[in-house]
Amino acid sequence: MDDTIEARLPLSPVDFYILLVLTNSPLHGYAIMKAVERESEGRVVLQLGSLYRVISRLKDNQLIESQPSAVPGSGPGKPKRYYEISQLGRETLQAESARLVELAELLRGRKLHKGVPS
Amino acid sequence: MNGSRLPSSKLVRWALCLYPRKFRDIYADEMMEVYDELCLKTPRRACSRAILAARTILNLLKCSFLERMPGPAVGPPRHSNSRSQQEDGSTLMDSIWQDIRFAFRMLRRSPLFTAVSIFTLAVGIGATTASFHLIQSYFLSPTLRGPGGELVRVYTATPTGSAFSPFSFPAFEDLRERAQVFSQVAAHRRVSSTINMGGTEEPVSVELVTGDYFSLFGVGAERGRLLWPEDNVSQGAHPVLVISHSFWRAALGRDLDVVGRTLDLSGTSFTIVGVAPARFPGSHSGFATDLWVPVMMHNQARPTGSDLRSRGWGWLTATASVKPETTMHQVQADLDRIGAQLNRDYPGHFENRSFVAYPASPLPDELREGVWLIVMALTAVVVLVLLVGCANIASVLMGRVVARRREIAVRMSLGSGRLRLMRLWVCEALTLSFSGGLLGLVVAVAMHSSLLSMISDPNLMPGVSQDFNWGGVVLGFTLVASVLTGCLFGLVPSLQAGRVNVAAALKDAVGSATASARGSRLRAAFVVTQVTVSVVLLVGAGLLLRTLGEADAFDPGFETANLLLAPVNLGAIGYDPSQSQRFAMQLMERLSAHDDVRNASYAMSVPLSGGRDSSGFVIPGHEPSPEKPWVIISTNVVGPDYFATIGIPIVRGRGFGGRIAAAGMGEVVINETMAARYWSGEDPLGQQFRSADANPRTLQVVGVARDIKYYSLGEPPRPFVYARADQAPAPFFTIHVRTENDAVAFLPALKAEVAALEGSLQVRGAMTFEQLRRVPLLPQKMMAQLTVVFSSMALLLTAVGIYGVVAQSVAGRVQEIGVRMALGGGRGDIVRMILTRVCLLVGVGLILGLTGAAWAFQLIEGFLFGISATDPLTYAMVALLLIVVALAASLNPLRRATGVDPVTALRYQ
Repeated sequence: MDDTIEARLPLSPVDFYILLVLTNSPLHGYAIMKAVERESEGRVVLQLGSLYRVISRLKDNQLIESQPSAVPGSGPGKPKRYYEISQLGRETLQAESARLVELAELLRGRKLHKGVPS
Repeated sequence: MNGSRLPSSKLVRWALCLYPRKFRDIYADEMMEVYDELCLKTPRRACSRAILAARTILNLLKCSFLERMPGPAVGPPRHSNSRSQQEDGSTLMDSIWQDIRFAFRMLRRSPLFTAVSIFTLAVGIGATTASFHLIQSYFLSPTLRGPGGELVRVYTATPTGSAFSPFSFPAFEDLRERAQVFSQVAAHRRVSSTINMGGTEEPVSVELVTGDYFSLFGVGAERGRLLWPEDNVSQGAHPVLVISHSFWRAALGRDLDVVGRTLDLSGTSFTIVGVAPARFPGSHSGFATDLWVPVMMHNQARPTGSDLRSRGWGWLTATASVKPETTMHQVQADLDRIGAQLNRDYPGHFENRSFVAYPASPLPDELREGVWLIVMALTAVVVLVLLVGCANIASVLMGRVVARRREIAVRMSLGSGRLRLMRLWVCEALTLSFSGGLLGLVVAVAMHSSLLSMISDPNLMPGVSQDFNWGGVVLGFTLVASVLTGCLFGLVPSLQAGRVNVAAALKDAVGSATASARGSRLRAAFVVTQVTVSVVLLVGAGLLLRTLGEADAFDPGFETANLLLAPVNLGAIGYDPSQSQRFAMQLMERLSAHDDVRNASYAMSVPLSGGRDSSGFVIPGHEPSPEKPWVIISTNVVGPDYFATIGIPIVRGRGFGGRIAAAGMGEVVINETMAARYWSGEDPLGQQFRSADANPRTLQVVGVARDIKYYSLGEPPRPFVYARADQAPAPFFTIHVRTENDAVAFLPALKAEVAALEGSLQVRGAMTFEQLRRVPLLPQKMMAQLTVVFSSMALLLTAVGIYGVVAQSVAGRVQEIGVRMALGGGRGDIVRMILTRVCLLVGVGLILGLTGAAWAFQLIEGFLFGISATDPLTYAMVALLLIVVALAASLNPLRRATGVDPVTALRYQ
């Protein structure tokens, strides 16, 4: 597999949102599902199977990592598995953001998109 | 979090099983936690949670499918160099998923076709699954094994050819002690009995078993304990029983304190000592057992008065566990040895019988052959109906290929590959067949019980297990049936789609017309096949219905209406023959006193009931050889007034009534055939002959009775001897009562009279002659029901097929019709043109079908009565029916064809 960041681009909207919600703090599966829904303002609603399909792929792609133990202060009960963004994931997200901004610039230059700030 | 808290969690857990093991190991538990959390955060309304469960499961099905398919394991799903990706960058799996979604969209667009197709497939696949379930549970299940090794069933074979006869309890004990090849042997007998549940009598299926029965099968108790050898020591001393899991659930509401409760079984109070596990059905998994009772309690569980220690009372069969490394050959050799010893030790009792062993199967061996025949016939019928349904769907799909050839051509010209296009059609077909298969499972469960009720008449197979066992094999069969069916009707349209001529289709010109002509020839072939199959099924149904009709209308030679028959066994309650004779005479007197009774009598056997007796007689002048001077003649022992009661006319002399004429001499009545055969040209009255037994008796003919049918409706005339019951008394007989009105209504009065004379005598199995005469025809009745149902279905589907082909042909020839009409052709010409085609199709199908039926039903000619397998009336009726149905199906398209406006048709061109 190609290890470069470019090989991982572009990110699908779901991949993008998952990486995005993990930039603040590690989250467990249910929290990722809800955070993505909140962050995308309800445009991306993940089902259980799809969520874990993407998580599995992002992990295999080394964009996220899992923590086997509980995060301190996460409450009592069985330890949950938390996922956090990896360094490679952070860089890929940045590259994707840059790519999207570049595209937006391009559209703005052609006056095709009014919403992009100059 | 405990997943079992939520009912839908189990379903989600099952859906997760579809994922690859590696994926499951890492994520399954976590996914379950997320799901439980989702559920808990969803409002507690049943429908919100149900929607969540349904969406999650569907999503899991899709994702597990994608996860299992080859694709880029890592990397973003797009813009990779993986070979499994398509030109548009999506993976193969994504594109198949796309095809499936497209198929769903297309099917949604034609809801009527989709609904009818799915319904047809559901019925076809469901019926096939239901019949496969029967085959699987009765015939494909592996030989039963116990903890001690392979299990075999042991019966006795009699010299007269019965291979599955039961044996007595002492013979079983001898078998258990002497057998060297078995590690364990248990005897059992299934009987029907009744329990008193809150004042009402409920029928139950009881197995009387010996103490080592449960350890032989290696089952442990669900609650309490099972039966032990200590429960089987002395007769009448162990009122304990074990209940089945389903009986515990259904009749006792899973009462947790069931152990120690009592049940009133046939008037005796039994204590429940335990519950058998759910997976244990009893000796035969094809039958359901409610209660297991020690054999020592047989007289309490089903009062017969018989003595368990009697060597003459054969009633048990055995299941045995074969020692390891022992072959069936060695088993049989050992059984032969024991049989020979018993014949030597108890010459009068074992009657030259021998023990025989068969690998233990779920059905009692004596029923296997008959059930196999019925189940196979059923399978053949349902598969044929499924084929007829498939032909219709294929035909419609082909019509859709023609209708969508422009769309196909556009896709091709935009670069879509032929294979991809063909895949679209296969996907559509498979989507239909899987939907049909899924619904078919529901149909299979629903059909299972009705099929069982059809094939398991209580008179043939009482207590058949009604459970539908969902198992991998049955589900796998449905899956395979769905795939095969989908391929069957999807392949031709998909090949046709792959052959669309792009240029011609885009111009909507000649090339497409050729393709359409090829398609219409294929569809015509489908209709011919459908007609053929329908004809075969209809002829089968017709022949069976005619058989039933002939049998009902057939005169057996005596009056059949209002004749009540009730067997009684006085020997079971200790009567000797002369006491029984006195009892019978008193009973007849009491019965005759009723206003509703025209005549009452009794006899050893009932004509056409399956019971046969025969004896050897030495008839002067008719000795076959000096060494063997006797001839074997069928007999019955009958009481006074018998001939008047049953309605057999005495053509000469007299019947039995009043006193015996000559002391010491037996009086007999013979039938006309016997008189003609042995005393042709002489007066049979007063002729004497003697019985050929150990104590020969001289018998004198006092009367000649008209011939009747004795054993079967199709039998040739046979000589017959009626002996007087008071000269050959027996402790068991069947009471015959001819009533003025409904015979069934007299049964309570009959029971009351019997009880007034002897309180402990049970009247069981009483029925009218009309009911009794139907028993031998039950297989025909079942098959008639099945073939009528399924042949009607096939006929309906064929009508739809004919309609489709004619409508398609009219639609394709609108312009031709327009031109013909514009050139002066009349409506008659158009009708003739279309009808010629219909007649051709139906005609070819009829010829093939009638020939096929004539060949196929030769094989079951023995199953028919009163008609031959090539009964012209049935064949003519079927042909007529098919023609009428074909014309009716063509009526609407014909009306459309004759209504074509030439101007519009030509402008359209």
